[in-house]
Amino acid sequence: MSKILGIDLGTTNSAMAIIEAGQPKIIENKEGIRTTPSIAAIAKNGELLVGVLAKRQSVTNAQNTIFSIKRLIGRKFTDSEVQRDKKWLPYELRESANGGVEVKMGEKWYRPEEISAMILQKLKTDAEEKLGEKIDEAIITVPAYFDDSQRQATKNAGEIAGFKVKRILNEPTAAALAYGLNKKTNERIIVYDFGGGTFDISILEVSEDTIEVIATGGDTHLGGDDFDQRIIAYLVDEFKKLEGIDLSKDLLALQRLKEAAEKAKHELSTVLETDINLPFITSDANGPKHFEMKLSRAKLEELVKDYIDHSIELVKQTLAEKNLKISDINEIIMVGGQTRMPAIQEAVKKFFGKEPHKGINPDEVVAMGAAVEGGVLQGEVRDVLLLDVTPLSLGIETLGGVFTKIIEKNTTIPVSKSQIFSTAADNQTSVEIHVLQGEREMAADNKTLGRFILDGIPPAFRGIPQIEVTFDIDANGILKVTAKDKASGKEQSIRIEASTGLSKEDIERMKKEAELHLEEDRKKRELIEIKNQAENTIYLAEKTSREAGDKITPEERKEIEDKISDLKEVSKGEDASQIKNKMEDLSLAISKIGAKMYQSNQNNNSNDTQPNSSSEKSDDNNSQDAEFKE
Amino acid sequence: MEEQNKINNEEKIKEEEKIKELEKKLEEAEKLKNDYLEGWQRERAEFLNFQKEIKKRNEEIIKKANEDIIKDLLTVLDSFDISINSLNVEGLTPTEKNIRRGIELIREQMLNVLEQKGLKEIKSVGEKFNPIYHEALEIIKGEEDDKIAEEIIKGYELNGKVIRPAKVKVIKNNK
Repeated sequence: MSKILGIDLGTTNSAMAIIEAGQPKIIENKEGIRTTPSIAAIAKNGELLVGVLAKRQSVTNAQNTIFSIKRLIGRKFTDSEVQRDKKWLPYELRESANGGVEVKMGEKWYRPEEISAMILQKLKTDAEEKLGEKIDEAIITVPAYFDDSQRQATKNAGEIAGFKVKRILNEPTAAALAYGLNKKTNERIIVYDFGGGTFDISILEVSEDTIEVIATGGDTHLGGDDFDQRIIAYLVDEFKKLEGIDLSKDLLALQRLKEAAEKAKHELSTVLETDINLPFITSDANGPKHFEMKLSRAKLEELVKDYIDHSIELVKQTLAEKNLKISDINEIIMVGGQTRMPAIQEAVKKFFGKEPHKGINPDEVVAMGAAVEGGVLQGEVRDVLLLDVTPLSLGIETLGGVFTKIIEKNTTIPVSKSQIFSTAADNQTSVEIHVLQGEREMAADNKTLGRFILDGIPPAFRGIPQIEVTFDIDANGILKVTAKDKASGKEQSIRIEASTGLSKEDIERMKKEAELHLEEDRKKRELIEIKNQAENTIYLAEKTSREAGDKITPEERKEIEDKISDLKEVSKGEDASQIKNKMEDLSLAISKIGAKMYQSNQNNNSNDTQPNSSSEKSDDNNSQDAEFKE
Repeated sequence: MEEQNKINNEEKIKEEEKIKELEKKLEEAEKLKNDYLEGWQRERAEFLNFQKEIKKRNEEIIKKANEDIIKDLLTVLDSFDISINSLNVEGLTPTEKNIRRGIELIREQMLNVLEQKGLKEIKSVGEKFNPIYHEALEIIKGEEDDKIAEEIIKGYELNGKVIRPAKVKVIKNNK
């Protein structure tokens, strides 16, 4: 079945998304950009340009370049909004036969829906090219305050573009869908949408099966672009104060400042201060001048404070119109690129006393939500196979009481995973497999699901036997754990039926506990791992010293023995760094002896290229560091 | 005898019914088997396709990351261009001339590295304005309509993709 394209047809920029493998995904346009300027133009040669190409030529062709068409679509020519916009829009407007608006592009007059259709047509073509399939159906979003005529005109635009418009969706509703808030019931959601050129507030009410818009507000001529202008003006002013030169008259300098201002604005969302360095910005009789300035987040916030305050004021008004109190609002969603600014997030959070939803790219959340709606529509006809996930991690206990995960939480089942382990002592002939479930680092803090013993392992040095442990969960959630000794082929297994039988509360509690003890658990585990390493080093040292026989002097033997007992002593304690130090000391001493023995071996029989017997086995590279306790 | 026949007939009918029933069951089981097989095959295919998609996506991410870094470096390249231009004046001492040459060489060094990654300058002055490659910042009056008179900021392509259009002044003939 062909996909439904979700389209956020914006005033300045548009975006599109589809559902892929159950998740919404933004589709880039032909130019490889995730948003497309909502601009159409007719070049002098009669060619139609849409998107970024239309934008690039707009200066040379201002009268035939149509932007902000969304401000006009579905409106009457006599609307006060239209009359207001007519004053600053550089292209020609006139009243159509039926009282609507027409704009002039090239030699012809067009209805706004025809211009919107050109933008939609480009999105359609680009999406089809990207996806390699035809797309006939679309969901197009509109502001919540759009009236029937504006909605109808937008739908017409989609149909002129060749789409079957499945639905005209409210932008705030789309945002709520993208965050999955449609599943909540009896909640009020406020959507705070600060875009490039418009600021919209919508209040939604979610009930059993509908999302209803109960109030709207905002300012159709306030946006992130105003912020950029403020910063540029400030930078120009500062330079004027410092050097007495007006950069606003210098096209090159102004371009560089514009880019720098945008970059600084973005950077200040994550850092507290940024450097604006523009070498050789201009020059005078005294030679070249550089633009060097630090811009702090605090300064930026001061520059645009009135805009932010104004937006909060508008939120208050919108609430007041419906007699809503702050406490009536359950969720807040932030939409539009400008809401990345920490000061805006802070102001909204402070006003509502609640953390707003963020996480989805605010420039893309509306298009994503439109795609989600498309997915919902298609979901009604498509048979979806629902697969479970393991709510908690599953694994076994290894040396030192550590919990080693084999299957991580949130893995989709059915699934099968295995890992190779080994023994912890020489001539160990059996291992105990202790199967656990949970998120804590130490075995003792997790839930035991079962245990069994695999015996009959042929005697060998520690670390040599390869024991493969396999966890298999079938579609019904039944866990089967198998341990197999690769050398003898002996195997043993256990079936655990209730691996997913925990209650929701139990699972939540276990996850919470893990989070709570995260740091302390990590430290504990690190300490045990270092102790395990220390033990391994001691084992190696003793073995080396034994095998070295008379090839080392009594002093050297004494040194090793002293260091071994030092390490043994500190290993009893809890100081990881001390253990590490002593361990390094001992390792150094062994490697010295190793080198000496290697040399004497070479002298004795220079043909023998066998590695020194005390060097680490190289064929157990693929076996796990963690070993079973005896 | 007749009695026997009747019984035989009844048994036959029963058997036939049983066979029918079993056939029906078999048919159902086969249908179910086919459904499962198809579902499994689809799932399998979707997984393989997803793997391919992930591989492709990873390549794209690497490409995109490269593009982002190179884009950021363009402003450094601009600063080199601008500094060289502003030192392009009369009356420099030999030392100053040498410093300027040094800056030129650093610029070249950097450009070479970027060119190896597929960066290419976009031609502009004297060319016909084309929004695929150029962004108009201003128009100036002149004879040759749509010709680029001046380049304000250089444009670049990376492996055939315009990562920044040249920002230019375009001639307009007001006839």
